[in-house]
Amino acid sequence: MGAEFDEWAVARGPALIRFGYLLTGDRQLAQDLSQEALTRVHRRWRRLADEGNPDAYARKIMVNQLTSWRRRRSFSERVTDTAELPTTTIEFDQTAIDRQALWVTIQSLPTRQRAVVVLHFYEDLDDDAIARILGCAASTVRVHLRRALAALRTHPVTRDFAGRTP
Amino acid sequence: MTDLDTMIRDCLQERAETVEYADPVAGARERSRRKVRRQQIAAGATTTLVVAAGVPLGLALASHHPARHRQPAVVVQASPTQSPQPPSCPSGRVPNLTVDESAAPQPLSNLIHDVADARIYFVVANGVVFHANGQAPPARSYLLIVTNRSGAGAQDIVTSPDAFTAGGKSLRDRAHDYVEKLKGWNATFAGCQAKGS
Repeated sequence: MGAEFDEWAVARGPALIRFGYLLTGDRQLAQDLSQEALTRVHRRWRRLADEGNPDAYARKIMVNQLTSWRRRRSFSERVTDTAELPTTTIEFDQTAIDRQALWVTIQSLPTRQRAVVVLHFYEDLDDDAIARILGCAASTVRVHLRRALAALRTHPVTRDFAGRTP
Repeated sequence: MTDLDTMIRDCLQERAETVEYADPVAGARERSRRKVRRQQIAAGATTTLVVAAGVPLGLALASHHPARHRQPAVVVQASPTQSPQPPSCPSGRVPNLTVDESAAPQPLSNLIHDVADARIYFVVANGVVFHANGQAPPARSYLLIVTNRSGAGAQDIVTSPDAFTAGGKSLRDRAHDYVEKLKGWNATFAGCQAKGS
């Protein structure tokens, strides 16, 4: 069992960290999430290996764990003010600006919606697979995705470039 | 597939590619620090995140925790109009760059290969502040904006507010490579000072 798990963890660990980073926007937090997922997968490795899909279980753990962490006080910090940024004359590449704006907006989505966006667009999972990870119905996944996309299209930060899309 | 779909995929892919293996020892250290930070918050410290209106130009963190109100011990100025790697000592001012050696090493960005390539940057890393273009960040604010001359790189540095909830640790990690590069710059200044130039 140990060797099998090690092999899986080595192979999938980086992908889990990347997934965690897309969920959280924080590398260290992503490591925490992936570590938690690896720990729990290890506990149930035999059964998960027999079922053949420890990846999905690991992702499920990470999404649920993030939701749980966000309920805690350390995640209660919120935006209350606007910075007075110095005026600069830098010319940014428009694509970089758009992607940054998009990234910021994605990170502002509710956890479940953000998870659906990442699982759909990055992991390329279908609605049923996402539903199994999130523990909800496929129709709920579609609702989350629709709301997330609507938010991305109408968010003040991304509205401008979303409006440029045909 | 709409262009927005494509942009989301590209954005996530690009972000995911920035994640690399981290030093496990440093990672454990960071986790320990975050735990302490959470305890501080639980004990009453509050943190206010200040998001710049001009996204993606910056994010700011203003903390009301006393430990974060101390003045930065060191200010290093760099301006696009000056050489970021000074060939000679500036008169009357020798930066004394303090580097938090305990900060976990994290690759900053493959997009910015040299300090000379940095167009502008405000970095707060454990009391170390770099001013860009001769302008200071707002009082009690912590800004981080890094780009290369073409503007690339900003998206690799300016992150979501979540990245700052652990007391700026992630910010410090991202700043670490820059700090390492600027240490060499600082050594140049120090050498010039020793020579009395």
